[in-house]
Amino acid sequence: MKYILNRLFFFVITLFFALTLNFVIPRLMPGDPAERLLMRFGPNIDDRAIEAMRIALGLDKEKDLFTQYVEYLKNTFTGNFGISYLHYPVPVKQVLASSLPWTLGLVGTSTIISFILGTLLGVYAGWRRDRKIGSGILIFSLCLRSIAYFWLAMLFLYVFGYRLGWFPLANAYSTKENLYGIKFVLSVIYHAVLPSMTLIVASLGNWILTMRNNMISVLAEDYIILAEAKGLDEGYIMLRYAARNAILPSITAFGISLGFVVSGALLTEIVYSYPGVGYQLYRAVLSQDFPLIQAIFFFVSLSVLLANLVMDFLYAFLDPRVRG
Amino acid sequence: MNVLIAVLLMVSAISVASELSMVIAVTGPFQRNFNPYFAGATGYIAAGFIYETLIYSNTKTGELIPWLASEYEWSPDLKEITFKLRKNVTWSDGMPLTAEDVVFTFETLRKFPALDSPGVWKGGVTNVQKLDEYTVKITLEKVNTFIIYSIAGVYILPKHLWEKVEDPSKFTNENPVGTGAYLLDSFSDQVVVLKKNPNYWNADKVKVEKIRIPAFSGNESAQLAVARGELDWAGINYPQIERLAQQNKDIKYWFAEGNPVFLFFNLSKKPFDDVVLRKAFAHAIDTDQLVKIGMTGYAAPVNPVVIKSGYEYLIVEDLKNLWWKHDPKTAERLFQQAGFKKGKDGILAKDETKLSFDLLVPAGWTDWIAVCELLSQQLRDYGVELKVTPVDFGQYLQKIRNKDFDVVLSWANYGPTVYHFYDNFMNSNNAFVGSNRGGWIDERTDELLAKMKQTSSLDELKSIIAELQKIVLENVPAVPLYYNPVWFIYSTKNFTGWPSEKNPYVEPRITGMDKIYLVMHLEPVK
Repeated sequence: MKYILNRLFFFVITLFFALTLNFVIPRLMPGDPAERLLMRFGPNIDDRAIEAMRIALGLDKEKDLFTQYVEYLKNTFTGNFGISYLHYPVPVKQVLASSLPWTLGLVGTSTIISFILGTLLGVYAGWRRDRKIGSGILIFSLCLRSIAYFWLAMLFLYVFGYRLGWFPLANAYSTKENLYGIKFVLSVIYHAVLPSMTLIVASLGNWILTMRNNMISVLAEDYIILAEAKGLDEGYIMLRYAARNAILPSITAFGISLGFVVSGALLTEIVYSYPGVGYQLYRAVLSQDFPLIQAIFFFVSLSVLLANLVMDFLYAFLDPRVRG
Repeated sequence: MNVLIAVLLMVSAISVASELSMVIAVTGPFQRNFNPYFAGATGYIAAGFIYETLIYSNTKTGELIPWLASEYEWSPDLKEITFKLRKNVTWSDGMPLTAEDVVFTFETLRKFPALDSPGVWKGGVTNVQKLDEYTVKITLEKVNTFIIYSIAGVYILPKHLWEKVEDPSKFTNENPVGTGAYLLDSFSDQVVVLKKNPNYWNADKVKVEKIRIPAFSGNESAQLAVARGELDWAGINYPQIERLAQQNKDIKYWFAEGNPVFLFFNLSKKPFDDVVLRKAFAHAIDTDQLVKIGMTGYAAPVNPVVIKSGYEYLIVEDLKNLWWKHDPKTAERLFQQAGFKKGKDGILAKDETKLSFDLLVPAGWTDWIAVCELLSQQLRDYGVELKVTPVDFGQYLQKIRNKDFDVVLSWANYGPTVYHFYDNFMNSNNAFVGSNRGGWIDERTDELLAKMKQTSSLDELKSIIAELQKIVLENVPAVPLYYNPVWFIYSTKNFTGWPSEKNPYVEPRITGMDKIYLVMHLEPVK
């Protein structure tokens, strides 16, 4: 019980610090949001448009930082994140509502698939570490880990999308016609194949390596030798004796990855023109869209911290030593 | 796997005839906002396609074309303009367009300055009055013939709907009702579809039945879509477009002259207060090389007086002997004449002043940075050191505004006509804060610019522009390098009638009314 209270206390403190940093850091950027907003049109900006934009964003009236901070805290806790600068006059809530589901779907699913696949391969690679298959998987995962994933994304797009034409080049569903019902769902899945393949392949290496290394250290334990001596089935030892004990660190890493899902996958989203939070955050930072930056960071910090908290609790449940 | 792909391919079948697909800008998923006064992908769709202006100012030809107003007339003292509205215009909900709507729109812009991006009230409009159901009179504080171009940026709003909106400057207008040629057919964050308005006042002219605008977040995917011939109109950049155009005969391109790009000097401090030194720079720079290598040939050359094609009649032939061109010998002579000698390090110096500067350029504008690198190389031969310094865009404008720079690569807003350009580029009001980035401050220039806004006589305009040209040529406030390209890639597979270098009837911009004027010229291929 004391452990749980302790964790909760840390959760609240960290969240508060995260919120404050989240307010301060974007404001350290030089420049003026109205100008940055119009910068995306490159050197075709009209000076009068900048002036009107400044009035719209309320930047013509000076507000001191403390008032802004109090407003920010109030807005955050009431769930009213204000109007986005970048998408003015669209409210931040609406921007998030249109991008979060895509990110959760794409990045969430990919993370889960990658974790399961990587961990299983890692278990097998650890178990068979002396055989060819074991070293094969090791080399394979080391290679995967060193590939820059935006490069992989562009390669997939070029080969499977453009050259072979198997998959669409952009967007989350067909933009060539309006689809409804099951056809729409199929179109969404079809469009998600390439981006999620990129994400899975890019993170697979890490899961394999983590799990393989855990396995190897667990396999040296006495109880494994005992199990072998007892003549238990190999598969049974691999999964029930070794993997079960080796998976704890992977679970922690998985929890944190799930927390980061909310922040999206920026480069994949850009390369495949996939609507998601990562891209929104990127553009928000470029245009100093404080309300949008704050809202996205709020959700990222919140979900990472929550994921940590849940993992801590789960640990207490999985590993009795922690409770002590 | 193959079966699955086949099924999925069938699901994404190809489009309908007489449907135009275009990319407005690479700005990511759409947000549902059809307020024509806010820039951004869907705001641009609203401006021109759904909402319209009283008159249309064609930047390319300089024409003012009557639009929702069938005619307009200046009063003899140039202090009033009377607009006659067309009588057959209806809003897409069936209500007629009347003078009430026009007055309401201008009043809304007055009450909410955030909406006044065309700058009509700041430009001196004092009153907008309804004379009868179809006539509106606009009164000016003082003579300003330029105001007509600002009025050409005012999108008329329906009073019966917008008067219920509490704050139009925070209104996303999700279900737009306009007078325009197109209605919103469907909206999603990945694609916006417009369909032709059957009751449009000029419906005979509109041959494009549907416009499909998919969202793109990255250049890669938009460029590949161009390469696959999926887009009829793309206003995006595309490296080595000429190779693609060779492979695919349908794909064509045209880089219209956009805003001019300059090497600006900080005129407020040493050593660039010296005109001889500025002239030396003008002769030292090889702009052809900048265009060919820096801009990979995708920019149009500029003349020293920055007068675009279409306005050649304003160029004064007698002043052509003052036009500078790339000429190393003259440049060297001018550097000497300004009193600069090469020091031990090979860099030109005079007393304490060394010709060694940071050349500012916005970070991430890769083509511009390439141009800066070339400039730096070209000038090194003369003994001038330019250190290319990419800075964050916000900081870039801030440094210019605070006069905290020596030389900077930047642009000037051309505006709808060459007259606007000279006003933007040379008016002391715009020194350091607007397009007059080097800070050219001169009484005679300001007088001429003020006079320019008080006349409607072409002869008088000509003589003013002639004197301004002379000032530019004698003083070199900045060195023009090239026109930044307006990227325009189009396909003749589904439509013909596109503007091109040979038939430049419109500047193919996606931002304002130009795009509807362009679409009205398109014919579906049978």
